[in-house]
Amino acid sequence: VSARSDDVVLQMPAKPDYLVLARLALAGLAHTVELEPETLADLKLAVTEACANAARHAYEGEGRVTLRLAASEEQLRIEIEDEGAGFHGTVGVLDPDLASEDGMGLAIIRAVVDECEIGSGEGGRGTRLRLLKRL
Amino acid sequence: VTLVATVERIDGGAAVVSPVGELDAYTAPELREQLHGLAEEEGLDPLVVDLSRVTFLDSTAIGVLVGALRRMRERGGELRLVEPRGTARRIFELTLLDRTFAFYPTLEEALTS
Repeated sequence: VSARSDDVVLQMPAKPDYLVLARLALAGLAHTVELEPETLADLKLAVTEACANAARHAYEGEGRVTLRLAASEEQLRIEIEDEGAGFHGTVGVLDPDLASEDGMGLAIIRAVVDECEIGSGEGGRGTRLRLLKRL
Repeated sequence: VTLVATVERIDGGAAVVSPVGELDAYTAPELREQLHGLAEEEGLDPLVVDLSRVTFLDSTAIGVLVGALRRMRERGGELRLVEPRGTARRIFELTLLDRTFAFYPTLEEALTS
């Protein structure tokens, strides 16, 4: 599927320092589909929580997270992918506090989107979160 | 410095922390340090966090506020929040924490109630 000219692919270090970039990219795309301010605010939360989860537990050292945004008149698709240790391998095992923060982030994401699918990234590595919001 | 948050001490023991902008996993740790430091000060009560100029809060920021609430309660004090405007309040509703925190519409009301 060829990308629309307004689609966004943003790859950045998996660090909290870059979370603001995810929100800015979403805000840019929001202009092209005229998102309601409430919907935009909800989705800013979702991308922030998803990228923060990747920054928190995906890598032992340095790593990257990729954010993909694609909008049509009917829906907005958001994909957050890292190449780290994988979601299921870390939550609830390494650090109960981190696991609960991840859990809260995921609960928030699920509350604001219509579909939320968690799987492995390219080649079975890392974590890929696919979100869909109907407009 | 990544987060702009002024601290003001009010006669009578109150302190007001006023962060400006977006509170996420990058900026919230700075707020955590400020709030934890103030929560340890003897006689400081209430601790007021003025969120009226905060435009975004994520779950890390909420965690910081919950931590400050717990610390203040443990020593018999109060944490009061001045409501964030617009959509920034949304995360409190999503997490049902809008029932846990004491919200005030204005800073003046947070200080005089």
